[in-house]
Amino acid sequence: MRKKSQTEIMGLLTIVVLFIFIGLIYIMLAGKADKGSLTRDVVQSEKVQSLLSSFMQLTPCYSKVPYDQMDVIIKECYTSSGGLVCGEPCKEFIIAEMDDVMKAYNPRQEYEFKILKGKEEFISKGGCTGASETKAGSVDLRDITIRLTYCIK
Amino acid sequence: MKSVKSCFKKAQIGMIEMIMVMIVVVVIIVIGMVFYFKFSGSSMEKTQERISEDKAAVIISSVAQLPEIECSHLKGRGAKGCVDTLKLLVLSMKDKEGNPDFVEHRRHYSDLFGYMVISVEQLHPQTSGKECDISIFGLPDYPEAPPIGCGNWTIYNNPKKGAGSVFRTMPVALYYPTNRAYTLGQLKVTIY
Repeated sequence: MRKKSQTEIMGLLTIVVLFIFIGLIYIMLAGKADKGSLTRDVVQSEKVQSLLSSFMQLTPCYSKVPYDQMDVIIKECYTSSGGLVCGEPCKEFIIAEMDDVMKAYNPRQEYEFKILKGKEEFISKGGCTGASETKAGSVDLRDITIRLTYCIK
Repeated sequence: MKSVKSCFKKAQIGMIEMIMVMIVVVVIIVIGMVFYFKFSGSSMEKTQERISEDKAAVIISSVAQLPEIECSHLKGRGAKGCVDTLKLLVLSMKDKEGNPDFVEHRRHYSDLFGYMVISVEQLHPQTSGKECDISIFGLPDYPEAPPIGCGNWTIYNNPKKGAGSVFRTMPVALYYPTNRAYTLGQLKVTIY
């Protein structure tokens, strides 16, 4: 009688072990499936960098010929500590242009745009507080760094 | 007589027990098979999706750097991500049926791209979104400022009907060589 109950317990244990084994495989496969694609990360980083590079090449003001590209506008704005572009204060003009570019390319995308000299912020717009992930692109103009960051929630 | 009856009952219980065990084993096997096929199916779909994404990423990067559309005046410095709109215009005109170069153009690029649609769209300043051709490109506001009469160039249009597709975009700077203006555009690739 005792031996029979021992055998029954062994059978039950085997079934329980089998269920645990299947559960572990399920969790393992589910975890693997949830991992993000590395390519997607690379593509997103490349997109941010490409958007910033394109932004730096833009000629947003058509009042002066030859048209100045954005990198020249930013440099002049920094060296003159202000000044006007197309009749507007240059800092506001640069920020508005970046806003227009972001609205045109990806209106739902939250972003942070900064122009820095070392750690000193010359221009700052937006922020990524509360974002779980960020993707950034940057361009260096000698001692000035222009940085665009996508906030991913 | 009594012992035969009790033996028969014991055998019946044994049979029921065996059937129950078999049912449990079959249920476990079926559950295992369902999970296995579910995950192998979804992982195959995921792998296929990932391969398509990888392919799209490689293609969109290589298309943006094609010498046929890239800004050649920059001679390598900063040319990455810059597309010449006059080159786009020539390619889009060649990709129209009826153009004398259409067959040659399509033969050359179908070896390279296969089933795909590649186009470039101006995003900022905003345009009408119309397909650019030589007549629209010659509007009076051009070359004084980037043309707003059109804003789309389809340089390769070879879709595969009824097939699934992957759509990708990449921001690019659009260069207008006659007035040396740059605008913001996006390269759009649909891969079948």
